[in-house]
Amino acid sequence: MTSINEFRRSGIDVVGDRPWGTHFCNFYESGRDLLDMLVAYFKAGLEENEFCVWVVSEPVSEGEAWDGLRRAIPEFDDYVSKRSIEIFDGRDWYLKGGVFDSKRVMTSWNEKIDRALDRGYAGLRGSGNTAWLQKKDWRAFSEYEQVVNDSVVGRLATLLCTYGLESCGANELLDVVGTHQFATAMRHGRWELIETPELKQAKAEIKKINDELESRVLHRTKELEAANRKLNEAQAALAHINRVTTMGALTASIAHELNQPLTSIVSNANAGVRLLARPSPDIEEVQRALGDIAEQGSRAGEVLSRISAQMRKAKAEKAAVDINESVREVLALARGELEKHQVSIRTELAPGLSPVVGDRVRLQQVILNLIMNAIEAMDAVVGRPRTLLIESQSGPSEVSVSVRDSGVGLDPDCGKRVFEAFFTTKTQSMGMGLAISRSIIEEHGGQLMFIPNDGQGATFRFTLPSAGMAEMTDSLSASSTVAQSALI
Amino acid sequence: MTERSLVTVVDDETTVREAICRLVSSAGLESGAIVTKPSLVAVVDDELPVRQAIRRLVSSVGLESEGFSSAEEFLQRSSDDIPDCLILDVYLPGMSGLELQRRLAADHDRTPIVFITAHNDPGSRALALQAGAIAFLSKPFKEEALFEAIRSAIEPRKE
Repeated sequence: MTSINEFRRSGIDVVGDRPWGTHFCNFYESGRDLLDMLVAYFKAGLEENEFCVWVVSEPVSEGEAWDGLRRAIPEFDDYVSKRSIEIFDGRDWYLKGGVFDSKRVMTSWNEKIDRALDRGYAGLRGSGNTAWLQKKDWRAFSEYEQVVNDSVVGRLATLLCTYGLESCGANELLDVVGTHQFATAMRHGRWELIETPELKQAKAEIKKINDELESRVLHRTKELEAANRKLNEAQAALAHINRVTTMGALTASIAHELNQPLTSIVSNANAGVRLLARPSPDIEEVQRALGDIAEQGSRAGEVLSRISAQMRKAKAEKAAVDINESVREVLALARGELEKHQVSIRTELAPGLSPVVGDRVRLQQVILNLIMNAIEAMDAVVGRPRTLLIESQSGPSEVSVSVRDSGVGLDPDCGKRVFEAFFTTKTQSMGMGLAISRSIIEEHGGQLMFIPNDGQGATFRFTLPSAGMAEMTDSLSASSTVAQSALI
Repeated sequence: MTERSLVTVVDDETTVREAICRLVSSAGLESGAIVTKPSLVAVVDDELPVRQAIRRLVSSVGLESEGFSSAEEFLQRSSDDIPDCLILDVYLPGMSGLELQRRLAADHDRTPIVFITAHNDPGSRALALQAGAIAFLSKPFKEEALFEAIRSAIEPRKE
């Protein structure tokens, strides 16, 4: 089915492609020029699967028309046998019974359009010559052209009317140009396009609107890009705030993680001083104390560097990340919190897990958020164990981490909404943790989902493409080059 | 309980000997008498480096020490192993320090308890002291604070 908006190849260079409903005229000087142009016009029509009706009159005869087409179109006989083209004499077509009857001619064209569509053609391509036209019929014919011009728009038809230049005076030229969408004329040995002032103006206006539209699109695109940049910045800032807030909630845990090694250090140092003050000091015991001091000092240092990594407002950095190691580091920070809330922790970390490409700090933020949520979910649990299971698994092209708690769980309705911003079941929460976590995981090409447990509690699980996969999908970004070299 | 109270001490370290002799005197007993056995301090903390360091510190002043990683392990020790003082972490895997305190009270075991914790936890402090703990020390503590608490623990309580 052809669309009315479809452009058709006219076959005439200067005219180019035009939509259905085009009605234009041509002023010719010689029969040769006219024949060449019309042959090209109908050749294109046949090739475009259009039903062609050519109404000829002098200086081109029916015979010349057939011969011209046959010469130009190798498979012309096929078109003829399929009756894809009909050629009529102008006087037979326009002056049946010696009278020009515009209504009858219009009906003839309409019948041809209907026949074209009935027989499966895309539409009608027609052309009529006006050499038969006499002065007395000019006004009636001009009115007929106006009716054609008004009614052809919206029809699956293209019509070309040809006029001999020498038979047209200035008035006639103006009439003809005024009743067609545009005109072509042979000037200085080549076809030129002559447009009506209205068409010119309409085209100019369309061009102006197009230009304006283009500049507005350009402007809007720039605005959207800027807004997108700002959105990204805001998201990064929000993620940072969330990280700092989470770390704030972890203060007690962090204090615990520092106080423990400090206790060991201070007590060992005190003991060492006393042991050395004895008349016969136990040097080996003092050495053991000093060894423990060094070890616990390093442990405190590691805690501090983990904290500062989480608090730093760094730009996203992509590198190969060992998920198991990341889980262990986060657990080391949250251990005090788990202890205080009497949560027992079990980890089942798949050995030999392939690395993922990403921002370690942000991924740890997600893991930490999930752990903190799990701890809170289990706060209300009394009379049964509070257990947290963290599992990592390796798939064919991805790595997954599940955080499973034995808490109060979430009803399915809440489960659907947990990832929405500002959704929270807690009294003291912004409700951004899971929304941010999901956006971080999605930035990494993964998915974060909620899975209700068969028994008690809930499981949150995220997947990330393993490093090899991430490189394939991300090979254009400069940061993945870093990741690749880090993997080698 | 009197047989558990310190009567006399022999220690090669003068400061400790003197300190303990002062305790003995203040209890109205004769001081300067010679030997029986040093006091036994039990340390219950789930973290080995902390447990080890406290035991080392306690040993450095001539006291005996033993370590347990949980309340359950402490309760399962042999019955003739009776500490003079219990240094007890508040948060432990399984039974917590406060639960152990309640359990001992229920068993009429009046072993003096010195609580230690790495958490800032005013609620636990109040509970522990109300239930008769000698002291509630925040980690890391000064050695003076620990020794003072142990001293108070092994000093015979006046009726």
